[in-house]
Amino acid sequence: MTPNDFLPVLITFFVVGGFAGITLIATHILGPKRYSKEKHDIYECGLDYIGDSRKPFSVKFYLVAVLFVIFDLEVVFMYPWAVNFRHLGLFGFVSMGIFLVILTVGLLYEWKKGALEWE
Amino acid sequence: MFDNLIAGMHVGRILPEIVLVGVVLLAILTDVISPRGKSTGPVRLVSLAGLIGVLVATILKKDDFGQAFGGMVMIDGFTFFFRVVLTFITFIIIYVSEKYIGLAKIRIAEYYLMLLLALFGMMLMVMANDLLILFLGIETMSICLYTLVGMSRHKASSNEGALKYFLLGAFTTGFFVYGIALIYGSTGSTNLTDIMVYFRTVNTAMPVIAWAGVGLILIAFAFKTSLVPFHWWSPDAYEGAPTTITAFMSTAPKAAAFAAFIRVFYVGFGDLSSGLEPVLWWIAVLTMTVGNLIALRQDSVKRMLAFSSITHAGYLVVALLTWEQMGASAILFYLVVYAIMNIGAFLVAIAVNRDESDEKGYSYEDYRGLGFRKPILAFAMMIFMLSLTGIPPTAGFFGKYYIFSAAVKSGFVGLAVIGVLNSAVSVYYYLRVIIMMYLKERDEEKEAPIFWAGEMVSIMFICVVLVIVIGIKPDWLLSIAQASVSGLM
Amino acid sequence: MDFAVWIVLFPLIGLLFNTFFGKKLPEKIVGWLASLMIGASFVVALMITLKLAALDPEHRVVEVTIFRWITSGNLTLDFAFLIDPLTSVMILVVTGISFLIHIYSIGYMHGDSRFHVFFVFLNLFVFFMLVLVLGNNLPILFIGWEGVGLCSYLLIGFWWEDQKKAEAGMKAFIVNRIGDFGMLIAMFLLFYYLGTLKFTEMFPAAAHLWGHSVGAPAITAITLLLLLGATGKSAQIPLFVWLPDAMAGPTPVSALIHAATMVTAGVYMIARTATLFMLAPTSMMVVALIGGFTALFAATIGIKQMDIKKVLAYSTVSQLGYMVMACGVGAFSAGIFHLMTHAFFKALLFLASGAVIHTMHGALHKVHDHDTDPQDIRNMGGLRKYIPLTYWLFVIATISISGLPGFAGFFSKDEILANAFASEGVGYVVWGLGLVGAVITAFYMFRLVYLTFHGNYKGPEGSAEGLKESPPIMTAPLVVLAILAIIGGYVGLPPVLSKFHLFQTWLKPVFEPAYSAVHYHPHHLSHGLEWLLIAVSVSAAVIGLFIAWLMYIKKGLIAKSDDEQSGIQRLLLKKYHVDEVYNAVVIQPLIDLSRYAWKIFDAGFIDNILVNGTARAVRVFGGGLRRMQTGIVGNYALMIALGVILILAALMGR
Repeated sequence: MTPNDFLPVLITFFVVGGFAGITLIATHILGPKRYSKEKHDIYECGLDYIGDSRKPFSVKFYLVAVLFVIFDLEVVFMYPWAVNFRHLGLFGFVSMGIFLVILTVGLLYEWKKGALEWE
Repeated sequence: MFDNLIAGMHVGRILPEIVLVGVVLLAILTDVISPRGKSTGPVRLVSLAGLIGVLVATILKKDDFGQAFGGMVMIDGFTFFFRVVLTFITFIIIYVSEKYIGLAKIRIAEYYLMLLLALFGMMLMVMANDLLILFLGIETMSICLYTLVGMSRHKASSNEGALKYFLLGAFTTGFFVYGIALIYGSTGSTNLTDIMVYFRTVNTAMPVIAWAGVGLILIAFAFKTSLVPFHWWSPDAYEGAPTTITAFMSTAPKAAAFAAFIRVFYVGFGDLSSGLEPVLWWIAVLTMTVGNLIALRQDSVKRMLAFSSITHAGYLVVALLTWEQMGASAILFYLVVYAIMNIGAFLVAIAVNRDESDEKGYSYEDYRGLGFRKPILAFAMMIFMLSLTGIPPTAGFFGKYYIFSAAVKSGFVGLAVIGVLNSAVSVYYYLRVIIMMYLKERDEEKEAPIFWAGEMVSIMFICVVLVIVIGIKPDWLLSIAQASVSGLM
Repeated sequence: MDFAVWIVLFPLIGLLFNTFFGKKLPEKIVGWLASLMIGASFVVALMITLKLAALDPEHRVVEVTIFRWITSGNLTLDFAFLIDPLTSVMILVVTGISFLIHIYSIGYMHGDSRFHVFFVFLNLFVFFMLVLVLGNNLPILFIGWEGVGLCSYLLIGFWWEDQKKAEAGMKAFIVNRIGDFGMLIAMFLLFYYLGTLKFTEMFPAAAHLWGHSVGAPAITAITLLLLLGATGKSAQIPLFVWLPDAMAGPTPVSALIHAATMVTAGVYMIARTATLFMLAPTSMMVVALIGGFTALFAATIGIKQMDIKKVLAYSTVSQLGYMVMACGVGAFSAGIFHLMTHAFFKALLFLASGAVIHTMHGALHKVHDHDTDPQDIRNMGGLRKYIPLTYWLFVIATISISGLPGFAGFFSKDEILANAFASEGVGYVVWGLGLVGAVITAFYMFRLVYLTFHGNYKGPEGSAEGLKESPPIMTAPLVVLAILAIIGGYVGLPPVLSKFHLFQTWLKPVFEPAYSAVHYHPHHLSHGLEWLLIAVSVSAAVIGLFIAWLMYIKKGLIAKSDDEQSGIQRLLLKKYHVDEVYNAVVIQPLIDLSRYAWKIFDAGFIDNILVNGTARAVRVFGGGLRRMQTGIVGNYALMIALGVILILAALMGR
């Protein structure tokens, strides 16, 4: 591969960037601007906002989300393994066994640390 | 079919890592079954016993060298050397920590678990013969380090350091992955041996994207070893981290990163040395100088040691740049020596520090008159400072001596001159500690009690002895280092 | 000659014993044990010398290997001693003088709360000094070199209660590091070119490599770097500034380390590497000029100093200049000869001045006067009456250093001047510098004698009764040194007096290879010319003596206070403002640079330019505490991105 092969990519890069840039600049220059307090509000629909939109979420949401991802992936591994179970034989069985032991220890840890309790 | 596969994997060659994972699982279980808030003691014991097991496994397998997992990892003398060194450092840090983590209010078992997992990541790094395995290793290690840095949750500096380290680390991870992609795109492989073969055959007409890949990987390593201008995270992370972790981070992960650095650049990119030379030259000069100049201005011993560790990384780049066996063995030698003296210095800093919860702790002022208050402790600190400065007959002198003589031998006289000049400048801030200890009067009203723990004292003692022994008779360590790198080239 | 290793073991035993048990033992035992260990070393040194003398002159090179030290690639070094005539002279001087000063210190340090620590440091110093002169390769020499530097630094700051003294120790250490940097680089280059650092292999290899291209850039650079190391340790221009400040240490330390032994290490090193220097004529010229100028320059500063030890310190710098100058004109054995005689009379001067200070201190203490400086000669005068023994010892040393005929200093200084005169190139210039220096030396030394011992006592009222002679344990070593300061020169009589120059003959096998490497033949002067030169240098000394007599005895001038000085006197008093210039030119810029770097890389740049810029942007979006952190991390990331662009550009743009 030579740099020349990437020429189309480069052109696309500039076209995309240029289009976005020109559009932004054009609206900035052409558009009329009238500032007022209402315009800077989060909702411009006449309703007064209450508090900040960037409220912190409870960390528990993230915790559950992460747990979900881990066990979701576990299943992703296990489907193909189950389909080829006979074919993989003892080797496959032991491998998956080790994988599951590690995950189980993790689950035990979470349980004990209270990650699964909402309150 | 699969029998062949298993035989070709040589699973036995990674026995130490297997043992280590077992230890981690055991340690987690120990934590789980121990009563709440009282688990650190048992977990620590399990970890220590397990690390001894890892060492035994390493030594058992010391003649079983070769590739494993289809060339994904390489077990050779180099791997063996770093396995032993890294396990030792982790062992020492776990050994000395128990009393300190109580002081720093981080008495949770995760402290030990993360150290063990970081060790696993580092083990992967030092044996990786494939960029993907290397990536796995780096990430495993780094994620543990992010958590360890932020472990003192009640301290703003700890949170800040961890966040900075994490964000910037994530940022550079992107470069690393992209670098791997570009290398794969141009060479068709992520295996270091294949990459070397490819570069050797097309050396004259290297595609630009391959250079970009090499550059991005270089940048990722520069970040992990905190070279200028990618050092930004390290002072804050080092300062915010609990001090035992600072001692750990400035030694073991740095050693592991340099080990991988050597393997990737000597094996994989070995034929590109002339092209990489100018860039590394400048990085070396900047790293040595910037770290030094900023260290001059610090008022905290901990922060001074953090900046000076940047400088020391600069010296290591000088040796790396030689692209010769002598330089590589000088790096190995220096990493060991640096680990010994730095851990020693941080332990003294912990002992002397006035108040762990104080954001502005570790002041030079705490050392005032220490030489008369605690002569033995002060003597140990003096030895460490002299060794860090590189004054004979301490181990640090030979560390620098080997590096700069390797540099001169490869024709980098200018670099050696800059390096020696920098080490002359470093006298100033290391000496400040000695001056405080021996040449300033005690101020008894302001003295804080010394923090003692039996484990710390014994390790400090061993460090002092080693610094002096290696300073008087360095060649045994160097010959080990030489034997370790001989298989690489 | 395997017993030679004991010479370093004895001090080691002494210091280990005193480290562990010294604190609880009485002073007498601690002091005498340390002294006797050095005495034992002296006996070993004597035995080594006798054994060496029994060998044929050509075979007087013995190597004693202690253990295999370093094996790294193609560098193999043993921890080994090289014993040859040059070493034998050095170990005799080092152990002999150290022994006397150890004994003296028992009296001088009496009652100090850290008595045993002092002797531990002193023994440690002797250990490293012996390693320095005995090492058979450059790295061992360097270990001794750094070791004595460390001891010197610890001993200068021994009385750490005083901030100024602590700073003096620091200055000594840092200035020396600049010199050491030269040494290190030179060492690396030598290894690069010659592949060995062992003296016995290095010199033939150098002669082989550069013998046909004398003055090649490489060897010139190497020797100039070595010279930089020597100027640091031996306090020559431009790195002499630390030595006068080093006088803050206890007086025995000044005598031992900063006069007789450690500071001569630079001269020893030049003499040891004579072959290398001979191969680089340009460097030799620089060595000669630096020595000559230092000899004169330091002497002129000595004229106006008021502190008895400061006068002696500048005189040491000046005398070291003579030694370096001797090496520069190729008269290495003359340099070592002066090193030896200087060790005798300068140690005597310092110890005698220590006795004076001791006396003054005792007298002032009696009247509870703690403001008067016991070292300031303006507070002395007329001491001859009270301490006649010290007076006469001091006078002997003064005569010796001034170069009046018959005393040790005369022979060695005359030999240096004669050799300078006879040499080519800059010979006349350095001879002139040395001669003027000799006049001034005689002047300031006799000025010191007159102001201290003659005239009337100017100390505080009532304190005169307290002036009394120091105890015998302090004066006995002085007497021994005084005898040496008189007769020490007779081992090297000038050619006009004797055909046989014992000292030169003894050292001849050491320097012969250096001369033969470049086919150099020292010039010989005719007897008539030599007599003339002797007459000139003697009259130089007499002139200096006479002027001092005229001013301070005949006219009875007394030293003026600092404010009354003007013009050139003020310049001399302020030591040519060298300290201030160094501060402005070297130290301040370094501090500024570090502040600047700190600003760019740590705080200022980011805070002022980037953070405040982005902070404004951040404020638009609101958000509280996160501002600071994301702000800075964002900028860190920006800097990283800049680094990435630079590196990629450098690599891809190839």
